[in-house]
Amino acid sequence: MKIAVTAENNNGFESNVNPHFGRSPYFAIVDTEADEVELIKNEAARASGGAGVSAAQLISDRGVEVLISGSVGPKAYTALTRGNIEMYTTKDGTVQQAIEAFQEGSLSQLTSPNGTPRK
Amino acid sequence: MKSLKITVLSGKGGTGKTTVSVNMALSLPNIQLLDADVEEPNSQYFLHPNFDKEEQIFRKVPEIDQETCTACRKCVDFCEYNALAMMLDEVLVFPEICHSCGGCEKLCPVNAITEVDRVLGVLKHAETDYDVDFWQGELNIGEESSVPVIEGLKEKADNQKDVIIDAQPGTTCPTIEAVVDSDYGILVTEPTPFGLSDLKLASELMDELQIPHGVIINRAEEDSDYIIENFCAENNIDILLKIPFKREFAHLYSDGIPFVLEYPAWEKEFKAVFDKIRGVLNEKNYSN
Repeated sequence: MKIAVTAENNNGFESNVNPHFGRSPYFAIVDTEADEVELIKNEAARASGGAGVSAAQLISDRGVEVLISGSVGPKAYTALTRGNIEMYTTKDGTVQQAIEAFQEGSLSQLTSPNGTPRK
Repeated sequence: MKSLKITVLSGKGGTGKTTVSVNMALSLPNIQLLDADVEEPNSQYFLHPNFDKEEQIFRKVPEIDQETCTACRKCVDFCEYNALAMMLDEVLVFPEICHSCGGCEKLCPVNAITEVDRVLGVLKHAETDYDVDFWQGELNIGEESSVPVIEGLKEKADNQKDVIIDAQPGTTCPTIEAVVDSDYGILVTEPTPFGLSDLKLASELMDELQIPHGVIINRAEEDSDYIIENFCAENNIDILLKIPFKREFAHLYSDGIPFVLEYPAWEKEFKAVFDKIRGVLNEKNYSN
């Protein structure tokens, strides 16, 4: 299974979690079977608008099934839902810790948008 | 005499565009006021209009025929504004962030995209108690581009009247759209470093657009007016008026009362500003 975690920096499993989806600097794409992580730079982090939609497109194109982030805005939420990507929230820690918490079932699932769009 | 179209603008928000627009409109005969600050039109709080007419403003956004769509993704890759996304072979439209360029419809190889109307905002009209013919534009919440509302608002300009346009603050598209075909721009500022910094931007914009302009200093104070005066002197910009920083004016403002109604002597001041502008423009036309 592929899981995307919003990341602050590019430091493998030790990257810090970023609390916002659309404008997160990096996305850590974790392949849980292979126990591998790939960090992708978010080119839309500074877009004037539509960063959330662009981010949703990016992780959907990578075949991600689960997103772990802090907050997800309304447009991104719609896109992710339509892409059958489940969303879970975490506040801080590393990508490794986020994945472990998800696997233990201790992260709560997002069932409505909890972020506000930024300009 | 040819009627004039004057836009009141400012780089910085909260400097007094509405104060100037409303008080000036109330000081002049045969006048029309267009509130083009469509994200937060607030002239209404001073004119207390009873709106008698409403017109919706539309823009075009794409609609996808999912039956015809082959999920080729050309439209999604084309859209610079991320208004389209492809999720599980289905194209999703996010109309709020669409800029209505129409490109996706044109390049769709199977004609699965049609452009449909979306309500973007509304224009409202009122005859006010004060003999001001008043229109305001309102942009719907969540919409990103106010320009079509301002375009629609400007079509309401009555060429038999002098027109004052209250613009949005800043120096971006909505402000430019409001001022671009005006005869003159009044730049409202305040004597602070922030006021000066944004006045510079507004003045550069007016130079770029080649629109004659002058400055009104609001909340003027003897000790600090030099901040603006020095800049205007260096750049040969007329200072048309100073509105003093007075508790009474602030009080009236907070009660929604234009100060010319309580201090009629100020009507003359605003009339003088208008006459000065007309004079400047006549001279300009004469010299051309």
